Amino acid sequence: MQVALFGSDRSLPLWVTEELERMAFSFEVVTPEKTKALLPSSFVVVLGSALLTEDEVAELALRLGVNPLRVAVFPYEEVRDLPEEKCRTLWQGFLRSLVPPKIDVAAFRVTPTRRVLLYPEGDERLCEAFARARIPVVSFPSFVLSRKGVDFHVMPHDIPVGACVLIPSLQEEPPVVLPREVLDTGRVVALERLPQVLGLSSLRKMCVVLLVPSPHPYPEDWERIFALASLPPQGAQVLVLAEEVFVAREGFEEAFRRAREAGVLFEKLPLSRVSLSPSLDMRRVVVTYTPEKDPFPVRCEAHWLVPVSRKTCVLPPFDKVLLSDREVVLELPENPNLLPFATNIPGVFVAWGDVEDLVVTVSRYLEEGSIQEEGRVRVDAERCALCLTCLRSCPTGAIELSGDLKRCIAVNEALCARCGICAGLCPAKAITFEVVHRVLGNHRL
Amino acid sequence: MSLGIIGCERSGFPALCALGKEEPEIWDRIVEVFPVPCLGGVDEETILRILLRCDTLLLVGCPPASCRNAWGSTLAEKRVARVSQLLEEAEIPKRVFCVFANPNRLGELKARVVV
Repeated sequence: MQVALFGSDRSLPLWVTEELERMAFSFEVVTPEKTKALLPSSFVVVLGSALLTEDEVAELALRLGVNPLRVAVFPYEEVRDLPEEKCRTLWQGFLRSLVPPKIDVAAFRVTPTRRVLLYPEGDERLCEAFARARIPVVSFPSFVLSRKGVDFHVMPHDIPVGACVLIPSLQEEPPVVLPREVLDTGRVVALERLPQVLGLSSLRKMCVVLLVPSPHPYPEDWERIFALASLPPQGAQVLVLAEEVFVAREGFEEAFRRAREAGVLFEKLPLSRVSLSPSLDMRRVVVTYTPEKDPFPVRCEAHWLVPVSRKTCVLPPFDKVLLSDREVVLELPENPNLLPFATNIPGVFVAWGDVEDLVVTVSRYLEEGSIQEEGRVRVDAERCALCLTCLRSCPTGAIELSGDLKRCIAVNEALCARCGICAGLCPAKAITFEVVHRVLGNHRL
Repeated sequence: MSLGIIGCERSGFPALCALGKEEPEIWDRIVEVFPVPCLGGVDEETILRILLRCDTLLLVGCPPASCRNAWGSTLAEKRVARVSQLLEEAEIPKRVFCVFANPNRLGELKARVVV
């Protein structure tokens, strides 16, 4: 590598030449009086104090016959009066910044150990699916997991595993707090048992009230609710008090319409507005609520009260399992830009939904060492100047100012539509958008 | 004359597929097809890089009034204008066009693609 030092002809101090030799640069001194054409690959270091304007750099580069990007200025005049040690470090750093270090990309393509840890212990279906894919499975009731390189290590047995699958547990809780007196009436029934109960008793002029919380319970629960439309004979009244009606599934809209035609009343309101009390004869439950449309409270006496439980998936306490210096934040898979099973920690998956798909994803991760994520947007905090061009241009309002330091913008991936407009408009190129680059990269541009 | 196409996943790409069903011979001319989420994210650099390997590049997107991302197509139009101007100034015989189409409105795309 050749370096031309552009400056006065006076003798340079020892640290300049020594460091150049140590970093295996060949160098020569060029002065304004005697200029000559250099090799195109050589760097030009201007030893001066004043910053050069673009025109001056271009003129100098033209005179020396090099690329203007290879001209750099070292503030020599200001530095040379400092102690020698300090000068040496500054000069070293400057020389290193000239040539960016070469990174061997192949060295990062490490494939993890082909073994999977299930935590807590997986069910038979999951184990069978992994066995079919020929991926050995380990699961222990108690252990400590640490990460070295790409592999996790299960202590105290110290077995390396390539990936870790977390199995969430389903937690059910009632949608509203049911008062003791209401439970004492014996008129509170679970949704699963409702058809049997209704079948036993005569339904004439009966009133059934369902309380459905949001986030919506499982689709199976909605299937049961919509099926009630066919159940009540003449005279029965079914009232569904829901925070949100879930129709985003095949056939659900039709079922919803049919249920309404059959006389099932749907009322959308927050369940905090519902108050429950037993009737005087303790045979019914008095439900009082204020609808959203008008301010007058509605009172009805329910023969049967059906609280549909709020079901939430709870992940195992991962922060207690993984001991590492990495930041442990699990993003929940409602995020549409993440793969359904992936978390933001590479190698950690969550067993939601389809088992076969999970096994395919894990197996691909174990082979390639990475999984293809769908269009994640990355923001380079160093480059972001907070000009907020992205904030103004984002059609979905997904750009947010990050909370704590407000040094760079953040992208709310739940709102992001992956259009890439922000990345295209960012003046500092701080936002990189993987979809476009991946699509184009596949074609070996 | 070889043709490259960048189509948005909402309208441009489905429109191209619809046109391809109607007139399968267009595939002989098309050498590059890139589906992207929105034309607004395609910058000048990408356009020029794809243009290295085809003579004409079409950016097919939603009509600006109905663009899903509000101003994706408008942005693309501006960039195409800038690149076209560059190409003309440099006297490079390659061309970039912005075409607005969706599967129900193929006229403009048909006029550009079918000779």
